[in-house]
Order: sequence, then structure tokens, then C-alpha cells
Amino acid sequence: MFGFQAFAEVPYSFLTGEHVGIYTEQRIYAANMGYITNATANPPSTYFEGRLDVPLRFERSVIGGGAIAGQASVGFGDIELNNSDGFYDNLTNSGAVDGRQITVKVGIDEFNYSDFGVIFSGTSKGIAVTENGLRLLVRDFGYKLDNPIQSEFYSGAGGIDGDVELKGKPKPLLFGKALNISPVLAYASGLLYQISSQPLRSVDAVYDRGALLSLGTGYTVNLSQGTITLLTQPAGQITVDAVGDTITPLAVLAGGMGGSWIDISDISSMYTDYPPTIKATATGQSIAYITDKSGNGLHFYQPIPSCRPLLQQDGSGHYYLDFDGIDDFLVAVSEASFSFTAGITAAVAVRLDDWATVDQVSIVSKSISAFGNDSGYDIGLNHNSKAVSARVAMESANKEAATTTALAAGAHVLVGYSNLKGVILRADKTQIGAYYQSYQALIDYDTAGTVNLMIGAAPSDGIIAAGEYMSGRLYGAVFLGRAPKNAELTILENYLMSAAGITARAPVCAADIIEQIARVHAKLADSEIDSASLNLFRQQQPAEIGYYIDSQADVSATMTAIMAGVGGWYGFSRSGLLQASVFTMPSAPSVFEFTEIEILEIERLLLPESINPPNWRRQVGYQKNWTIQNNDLAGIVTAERRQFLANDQRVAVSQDANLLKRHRLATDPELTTSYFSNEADAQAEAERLMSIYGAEREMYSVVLKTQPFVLDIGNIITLTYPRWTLTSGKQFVIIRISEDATDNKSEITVFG
Amino acid sequence: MTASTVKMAWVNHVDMQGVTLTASSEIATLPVSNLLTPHVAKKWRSQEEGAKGGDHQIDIDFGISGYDDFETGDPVTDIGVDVVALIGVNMTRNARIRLEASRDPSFASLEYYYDFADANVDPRFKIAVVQLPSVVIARYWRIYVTDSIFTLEAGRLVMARCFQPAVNFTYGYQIGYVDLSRVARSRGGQQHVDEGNSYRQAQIQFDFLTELEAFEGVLELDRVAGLHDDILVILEPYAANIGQKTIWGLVSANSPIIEPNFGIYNKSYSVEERL
Repeated sequence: MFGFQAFAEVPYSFLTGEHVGIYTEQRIYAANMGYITNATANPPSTYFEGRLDVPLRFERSVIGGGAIAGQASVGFGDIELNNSDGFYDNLTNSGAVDGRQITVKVGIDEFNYSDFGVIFSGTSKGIAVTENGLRLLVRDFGYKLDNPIQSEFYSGAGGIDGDVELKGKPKPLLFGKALNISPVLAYASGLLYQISSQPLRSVDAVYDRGALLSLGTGYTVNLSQGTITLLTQPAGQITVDAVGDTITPLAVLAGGMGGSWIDISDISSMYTDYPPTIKATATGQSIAYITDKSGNGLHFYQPIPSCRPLLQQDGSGHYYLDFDGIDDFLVAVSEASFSFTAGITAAVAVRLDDWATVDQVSIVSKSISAFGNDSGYDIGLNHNSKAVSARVAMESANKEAATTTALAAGAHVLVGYSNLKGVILRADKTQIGAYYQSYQALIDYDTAGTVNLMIGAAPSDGIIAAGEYMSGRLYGAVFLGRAPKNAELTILENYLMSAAGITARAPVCAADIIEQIARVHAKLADSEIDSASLNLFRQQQPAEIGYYIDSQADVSATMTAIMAGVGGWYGFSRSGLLQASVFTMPSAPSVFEFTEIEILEIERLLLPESINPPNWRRQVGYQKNWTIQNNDLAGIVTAERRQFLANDQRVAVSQDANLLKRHRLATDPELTTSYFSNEADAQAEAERLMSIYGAEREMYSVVLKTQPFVLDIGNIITLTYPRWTLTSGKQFVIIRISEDATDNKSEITVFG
Repeated sequence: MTASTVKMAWVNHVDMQGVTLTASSEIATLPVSNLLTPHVAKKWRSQEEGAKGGDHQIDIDFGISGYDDFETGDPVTDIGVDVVALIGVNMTRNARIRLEASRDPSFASLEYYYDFADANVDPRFKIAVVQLPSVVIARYWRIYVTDSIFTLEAGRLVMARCFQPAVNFTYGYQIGYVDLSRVARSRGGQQHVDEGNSYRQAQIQFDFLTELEAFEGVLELDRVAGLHDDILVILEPYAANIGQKTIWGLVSANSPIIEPNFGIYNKSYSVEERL
């Protein structure tokens, strides 16, 4: 039996033959000892050259710019391959590894390769060649955030595509709540101003020279397009208070996997006629067409006027479509992405008039006409005497997740999904039914002769029977042509719960914006995001913030600005997952305790100048004014409002004057630019920063002999050592870590 | 009947230009040509026995019945073999092996036939060695292996002619394991071990080589293999556990031949096992 071994996979492009520009991708497999995978592994029966002299040296740190946190973590390192016999010379001669993914795993050679753990997933920057070896320079996936955040540009075609003067310019983006932003005049002759190229949650106020305009008489709003339209020529500069939406179903649908999003709360997405020409404007109108907000073109419609649901608004102000239970239903205009080949998901926010006594009602249905509604998918009521069920079915057998317990009166979010290995039914974020196929079997779904996805009814042999129409309210729906990941399920359910008024929608916080940018703008796959880290970040810092972008900006610069404002850090883990966190002092049990047994070397370090001596005062900004206006304001603008408009931001202060008695050179750092909406949140952040940096802190560099690649940035550890303040053990946070798999040592820098 | 003194071989005929190996079966990513690579860990792997329908078999065609010495240009017409070894095998103690040698590709007439016999493999050492009673000259060879395992693996094939001195190496030879594990000591004095692979190392000293053995034997070994080509050392040809007494590896240190007395030559070697 051997100890842990390291294994690396390095794909590289290879110039084949003399065909300049024709590249193939090949893959290098190497380990620190010769190793062959077994026949069932992935890759099967593959030899790993025993040439990995240095499996991985990698360093990750959140220290930067003289500060402990507030920026991206940066990870870099190298891998060394033995090339003393020229084995890899072809790689140096005509191959290229830069930008290719590199994976390093550890395991015991007696294990199956697929059971090995990934300790690094990153990319290569290039190769350094020596006579005896190749040094692959590696770094984390930070480059994935080095792209422009805007992917939508004005084409100059007019309307929402902008005037010709705007051609080629990026469209603005609004994340969360921002005050007094200057929207882009996209279409001058139509008085169309764009606030954001992604949907808005609300437009709270529109100002002309600082004077408030009225909704309806002064302007109209299109939340879906992120625009306002003035109804009269403005007197001067137009500014807006608005909330850009984040973590909507768009974050799940952006991955190019198809799907559809029906947003009833966005009236501007609905039409009263078919083909769609007249937009809905008020409650009481019958809805003939609803635009799919996913961008996938999977709209829903109802061509028969008498069968159209009515747009209504409940007592809490939430919009819904009212289905009469007689003949109302909607049907998808296209079958695309609902082929079942990868599964299906239907998530609906719905309130039936009666959850208990109705029979054979389908809320969502997709059937195969050849076999009637016994073959297909639906979320329904009282199917087979069940109160609620979700089914993926074939001709002779339903694969059904169901419950016989009727749901309580009121609105519920129901999710039924299948990955073809089973069917899961959830209500209000709780699983209420499940069906699982036998081991390794898949649900045998026949895709022949489909009927388009329907809302409010299910066809039986192409005919909808009386009594099977839904009677109740639809607040929103999202469909996917696959099963959701857990994090995606959370996004969908949270969104629909708020759409139906079951739970209030939380204000947009920093974690929401980071996740939105990661999923939608950086186009990271769900598998590249550490959802647990983001959820913890969301709990750590739930305060409402807002950030507006109206010029070219990078993803990384945007994330850095947001994280600096909340005293956090972000970056990719060694295993390639995007993480984000608030930098805090230890408040939880340590994940490891190290004593003289593990400590090979220890050194007390000088603290960064910004906190040495400690801070006696911290200032944190809030209510950022995105358009400073000192003049050309309407006469009606109050003195208080003028004062707000003249200043960039408000400031919350936390200070400890007594500290100056002990530390006569105590420091007063510059104002922290933050994007909090509320003073209390900024004050809390200022006090939090004082609690960290207004105290006397210590920083150590420690070389440890411990199991490699188990520690990471942000981990809390306890150091016990017979010197300094460590004699009885003290907790620290890891802020830098450097590991070398050659000798299995970890060098960490800790702060506490 | 061969002598009981050490055997050393440094010209592995399967490494010649033009040699082709064919196996009864192989995994595409682990072909039988892996038996020609220097790293024992890089193996040929057969398909499962049931899939290929019989015992495992390797056919060797030396391509020519002779070759030109690459330095002198002299024709060497006889490719003599008196030892066949498979290194890095996964055979069990139940493995049996058979050899056939012929100048006819159909093996209609045989130069040599070694019927199925116990391969005498100790799984700790992973070496199967067949020592032929005399040198056999043939272009075509066939190795059969039967075992209770489903797939057969081997890392290196050795087919060579051995040098065997009349007088064995001197008493006091050394053999042991070199452990690549690393140990670090912490501030508290505790030792931390990174467990690594181990390989065998043997040191032998010849004190009674004849002039012929010195100049045409060990000095030739130094010329051809030096510190860069693998050699086979069978320390005790009649050992009950032949794998335990056989090393395939590189010479890590040697000495020049010394003539301390008239007609008597000394020479020492240190050999490290290939993994």
C-alpha cells in the first residue's frame, strides 16, 4: 500500500503534420509514479507516465494592495514534469498548453481513478523548459472573469436597439437598488431610456432636472426590457431610482440548455391579441400571448379568445392569470427543448380555487398524442386518486411522484422534475413525493408524436375533457428541458415563492449580484460555482446594495468593486469553483488545530501598513448618488434633495478615540466606497471593520506537515505554540496558503 | 546444465530495429508494444481471457535472422537467446508458461520447445524468468501464459543471451531496498512520513574474472549498457524464488576492470531495479 499519489491531466493543442493551423487536442497523463487506470475508469486502461516530479506547487492568497481582504483571491503555481530523456520535446516544439484546463488529483493507487479527489482544476499559462524538465505554469480560473461584463450592444436599428449614434456601445446594466442613475437615451424620437439590458425589479422614481415625474402621466415602464418611456419631452437631465433584478430564472436559463420563463408580474411581457401586437396594460384584460423571458423563444399563446385567461392582481399587488376552469388554457408555440432527452422540469406558482375536491386537473401538461395523456409529463391534481402528482409516463406505466395529502388553501409553488432516473415532486421548497427507477435504469420515454406543452389543461387523445381545466391563478412558471441542479432549484423556487406572495422577495444583496454576474455575464456553469459558499456569503451579508454600469467594464473589476464595499473577497478555489465570502474574524469552531506536532516552522509577520498600528476610525459609504447634480435643477427640488444630489455618497462612521491614547500613530484609512442602500447596513459594516482592524492583530507564517490540500483560504484554525500569545491556543483565519505536493507541506499565513 | 554463478545480460534482442511483437489480445491504450518501453510501469494489458478466447500469447518476430553490429558493421547472423523474462507481470503463483522457438513463421518445426511449466512467479517481485539450457537461435518465438487472472499484464520483455563467469561474485554482495519515502521532523520532534515507492539495489564484486570474461564480458557490458541501458542480473540462477534473486534495471555505479594479479581481474557493479 502506498501513500497518496498525485495525478495530472493536461490537454494541449498539437500542430498536426505540416497543415499549418490544423490543431488537434491531445492529453498528457502523468503521475508521480507509473500508473494504469483500470478498464472501467475514465479514462479506461490508460497509462500515466511516472514523470510528475512536482505534482503541484500552488499558492492562493487574499492579501493584496496592502489590505487583508476586499479583492479577488489570486491562485498560481506550477507543475514539473521530468523530461530528461526528451519525452515531451514534441510538446515544446509544436504543442501549446496555454489556456488549457489542467486537473490534478490525489488518490491511493489501489483505488479506482474515478474515486480520486480533485485538488486542482485550473488553467495553464504556458511552459518553462529546462534541459531535464518541463515546468507547467498554472493559475486558477480567474481569467474567466477577465471578460467584459456587457454582452449586449446597441445595433443602431432604432427602438430598443438604439439610435445610430449609439451603435456599438454597450447597453447599461443595473444590479440591485441604485439611486439617481442616468439612463441611456436609447431612442431619442421615442423618448425611450434604457436603465438596464436585463430585467428590472422596479422603477421607483423618475426625475427630470431633479423633479419627480409621475408614472402613467410622465412616463411608462417596461421592466422586462429595462426601459422607461417619457410621455413628454424632458426639460433637462433624466435620472432614475430603480432596482435591477438578480437571480431570476434567467440565471438558470442562461446556460444554453433551453427552457422557458413565464413572468406574470411583468405586464409588458404579455399581449391581448394573437398574433401579438397589442400589449397588456391593465387588469381585466384577457391574455392571448406571453413572451418567454428566457430568450429561447418558447412563448405561450391561446388563439381562441374565449379560452384566454384574464390578467388580475391580488390583494397584495401580485399579478396573476385567472384560469376559469371551463375552457381556459395556454399552449407553447414551439416544442423545442422539451424533448425529454435529458429530462424535464416544470416549476409553477399557482393557486387553485380548490386543492381538495377537484379531479383530473392538469396545471402543466405535455403529452404524446399517440398514447393520450397516459404518456407524457404533467403536474396535476387527483391523478389516480392523488392530491398532487408529477408524472413522466410511457404508454403502459406512469412514473409518478405523488402525495395523497391535499395542499392547504392558497398559493403554492409546485415543482415536478425528472432526470429520467426518477420523478420528484416538491411543494413550497419541500419534497412531497418521489419515484425512483430501479438501479441504473432510465425511464423509457417515447418521444414520438408530441403535443406542445400546455398550461391549465391536458389533452386526452388531443381532446381536453370537461372538468380537466384548471380553475385558479397562475403567478408564474419556469420550464427546463432537463432536471435542475440543487442551486438552480433554489433559485427557481425562491423566485416563484415571491412572485406568488408566499414569501417576500429579499432585497438584492452582494451575493445575489456576484452570482448573477457569474452565471449570466461570466457564463460560468453551475458546476463552476460553489453555491454553498455563495449561500453562506448571502447569510453573512444580506444587506441591500446596488451597482450601475453604463460604460465598458470587466467582470472582475465589477466583482472587485462590489466585494471591496462589503469587506469580502472572491475567487476560484483550487478545485475550480467560484467562491465569495465576507472576511471575518473567527467565530466558529476551528476546522483544524495545529501544535508543535505539526508545526515545522513558524514566524511572526509584520502586519500590513494599512492596519499597523490599528485603525482608530473606519468610514463606509452608502446611498451612492450615481449622478452628481449641482446645478440645472428644477425650482421645485427641495434643499434636502439638492444636498443629496450634490454629494457622491453618504458616510457611516465608527471610531474609537481611546485607541489614540494607546497607539498615538493609530491609522484612519480612506473612506470605503460601498453600495449599501441603508445607513444602518453601512454603520454595521463600519463597526465590523473596526472590530477587525481597530484591534491589535497578529499575523503568522507557519509551515505545517499535515494532510495536503485540505486547508483553504478562509478556514479557521487554532495554533498552539509555546511563544507569543499562542501558549493556550488561539484561533486564526487563513489568508494565504502555499502548498507543495512534492513534500506534502503547507505554508500558511494566518490572521487573527 | 548451466553453472550456478551469476548471469548478466545486457543486449535485449527485442529492442532491435525491426522486431515486431504480436499479442493474442491487447487493450488499445495499453498495446503489446509497451513491452518495449523502458518503464516497467508502462504495461501491456491483454483483454479478458474470455473475450479473446484462450490463453495469453505473445509472438515475437526478430524480423531478420541476423543483423549488423551497429558499431563494427560486422554481420551478426545468430540471434542467440538463453533467457526469456517478463518483468512487471501481474501473474499469480498459479501461472504457467510455455516457450516455442522456430525459424519458420508457422512454427511447423521448432528449434526449441519448453512445455508448460510453473512460471514460478512471486507476486511480490512480479518477474517471470525462463532460463534455457543452452543458447537457441531462432527468428520466431512464441510465449504462452495461462493463469487464473482475467487479464495479463507485463511491463517489459527481455530476450537475451547471458554472460556467466566461471567464478561467482565474491561473498559480501549486498542487496536491499531503497525507500523513496521522506521523513520530516516537526518542532515538537515528531516524525512525519510521506510514503513512497521502494526499489531493489544490489552490489556485487567480481574478484576472479578471467581475461576473456573481463574483456569480452563485463567490459562489453560497460561499453554497450554503461549507465544508460537496462541489464538483467540473475544473482542465483537456481534459486527457488527466481524473482527474488533477479533484478532488471540500470547500472548505477561500476568500476573499471582491475588486474591485481596476473590473469585475474576485478570488477564491481551496483544495479538499481527499474520500476
